[in-house]
Amino acid sequence: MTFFKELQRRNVFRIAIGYVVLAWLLLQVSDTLVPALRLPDWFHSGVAFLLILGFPVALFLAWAYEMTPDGIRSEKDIDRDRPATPGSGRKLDFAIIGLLAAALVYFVWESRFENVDGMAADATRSELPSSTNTETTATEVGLDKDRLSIAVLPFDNRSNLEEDQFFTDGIHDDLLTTIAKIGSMKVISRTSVMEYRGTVKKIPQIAKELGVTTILEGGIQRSGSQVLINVQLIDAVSDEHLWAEYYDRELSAENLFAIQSEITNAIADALSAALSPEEKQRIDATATNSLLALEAYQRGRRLMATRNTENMKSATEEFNQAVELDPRFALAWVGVADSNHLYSTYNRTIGPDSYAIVDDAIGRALAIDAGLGEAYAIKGLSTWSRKGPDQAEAAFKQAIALSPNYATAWQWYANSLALDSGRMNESIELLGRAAQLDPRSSIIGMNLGTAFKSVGLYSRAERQYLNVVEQNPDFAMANNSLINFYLAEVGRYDQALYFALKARVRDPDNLRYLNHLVNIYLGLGDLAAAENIHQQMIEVDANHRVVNAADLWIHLRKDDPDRTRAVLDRLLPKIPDRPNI
Amino acid sequence: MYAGFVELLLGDLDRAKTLFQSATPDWLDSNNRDYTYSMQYFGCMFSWVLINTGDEEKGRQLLQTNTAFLDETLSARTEHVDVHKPEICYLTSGDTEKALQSIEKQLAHNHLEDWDIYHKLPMYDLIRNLPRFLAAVEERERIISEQRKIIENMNHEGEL
Repeated sequence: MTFFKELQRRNVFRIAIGYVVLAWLLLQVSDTLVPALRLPDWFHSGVAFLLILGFPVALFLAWAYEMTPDGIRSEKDIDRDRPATPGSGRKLDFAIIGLLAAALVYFVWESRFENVDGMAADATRSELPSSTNTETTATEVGLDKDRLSIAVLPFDNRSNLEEDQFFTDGIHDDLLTTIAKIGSMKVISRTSVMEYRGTVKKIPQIAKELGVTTILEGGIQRSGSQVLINVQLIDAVSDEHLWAEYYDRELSAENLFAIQSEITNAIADALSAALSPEEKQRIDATATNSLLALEAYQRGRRLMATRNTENMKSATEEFNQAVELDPRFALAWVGVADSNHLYSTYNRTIGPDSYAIVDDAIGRALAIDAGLGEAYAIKGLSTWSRKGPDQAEAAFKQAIALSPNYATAWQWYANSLALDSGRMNESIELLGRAAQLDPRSSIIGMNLGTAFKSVGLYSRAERQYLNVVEQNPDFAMANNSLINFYLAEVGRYDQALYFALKARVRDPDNLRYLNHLVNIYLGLGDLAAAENIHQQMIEVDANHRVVNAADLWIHLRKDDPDRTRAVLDRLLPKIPDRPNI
Repeated sequence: MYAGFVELLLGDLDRAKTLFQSATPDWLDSNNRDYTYSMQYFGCMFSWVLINTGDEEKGRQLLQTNTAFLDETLSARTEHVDVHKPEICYLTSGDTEKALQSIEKQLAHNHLEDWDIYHKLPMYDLIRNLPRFLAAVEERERIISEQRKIIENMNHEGEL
């Protein structure tokens, strides 16, 4: 008898197959139990390790023993000339089939229910802390089938001129803002619909991915002094047209806002969406009569969404231009406040000067339009960063009440609560709402990762961060969060270095990323590399606080007290009032 | 607060005290604790400074507030309290056993950032020469060395 046949006779192959399938199933169970029971991370690794160790043991036992009608017997006690007990092989076959069926059921379940809704679904998964009211979260964050919902797909540019694409995108953006004023309807944000530009996906598929029941699509053509817009509203379930219209007007800001207002009212009618008198008034209002101001505003929004330092600086200039052209353009004042706050925060220069600009712009926006939710959102953010979450809460709540479809308001409110650790679970729920409105938003996805990190759900946080990087590799901020995570939470300097170098390629003069590199090299004990990066920081801005701070950490590592103190003395006047924020 | 931390490292307790005080004037306001929840170790550094500069009562009060927040409030929210270096608080109160446990837990959780700098703080004198502390530091260095090798390989493969 050959060795192969002997292996077959002793059921070694069957045991091997059965063991692999069973081990895989056990690993899935362990993967579920670790977060659910808040077991330590090593538990899962331990299970995997034991299963690997058990494999040769199982093969050895299969070789050495046999199941017989008299029980398990040692091979040496069995007559080798007699065929192996036929029943035992059959039992093993049944067991393997049963395990394979269980694995198949699990696989189908996982692929059907685990990956449906991207980031919005991410927030509802099972790793929420035990104290989280997961039932509420799931209801609020998951697919909200009872609520009217719409996604406005990017409009086709039907002009022959490529530069009209920007105009087309701007109209699309403004229309989204107008439709979002219908409080009873969920409106998917711009960042999440933009990836469907030129898509070949069917309407029902898009609707499923974005969690909506209706889709608006259309095209725009700018022709001399005329603008032609056609739109159609589609029922995402039946794929049937609910309403369609064609507009041919003279090109002016007033006419563009009038068309947007007509489309929004028509959608509300077609879907029987409730519109309060205040909402109707806001929908019919004209934000600006200046086409140039409107275009500058649109460019500013687009630049700010990238969260790239240089782009955010350019965004401040665009918004300044918009308010210069039309000082009564309230949303552009919000843009001034948003962009100045974000730019100075990201560039670590936030302080009295930037707060003065932000406060002034918020005041002007609210003086023009006291019901502008977007203005209350930035008011909340600015208050939070200076005074803490409690003082900011009223402004955030006001923002959400006035503009329930403004994902950023939910996001910033959630972030403020994340600092107030007692309300971490609320923060995660609010971020889920933000993700529902803007499921493809990188910044919201990243904030969700940070929320998971804050409650110690590290594997969940890492997956969330990596999701964002995968969805939007050009979003350098996601790399920043990953770098922080790998450094502080999981002690992976090699991973931190990999992502810090990637971030630097995308945003080479960002002092935050360069500072990360200094810290990573210092942590690795590579002082020369840290000093080299510091030199690059000096070339960007020698007087910047972050550059001096990096110098400080380098000299602390060098055990050079005199130089350290000299750097500290230079740095101290640059530290803002509350450096802990 | 980082400036106060640096002055404490440099050994100028008076300057450290002034800087900690000016960074957060409401240190002793218990309503402020959650707001600075991730900065408990600065609070305990400030406690150490207060205790060692004649403000013992205020220092003990601040230490007690910070330690209670770490042990009772924060630990109910996450099992990773050790990422906040609570041993600074335990060492300030003289509890070397809890401090060593905290450091060992950081090792187990891979919270390895900035050990070299923080361990220069004066409160670590209590454990600096203890075998358990030295073993933890050595193990951390071994983990970092492994990562240096990974980085070398990544460099070699052109991945960085």
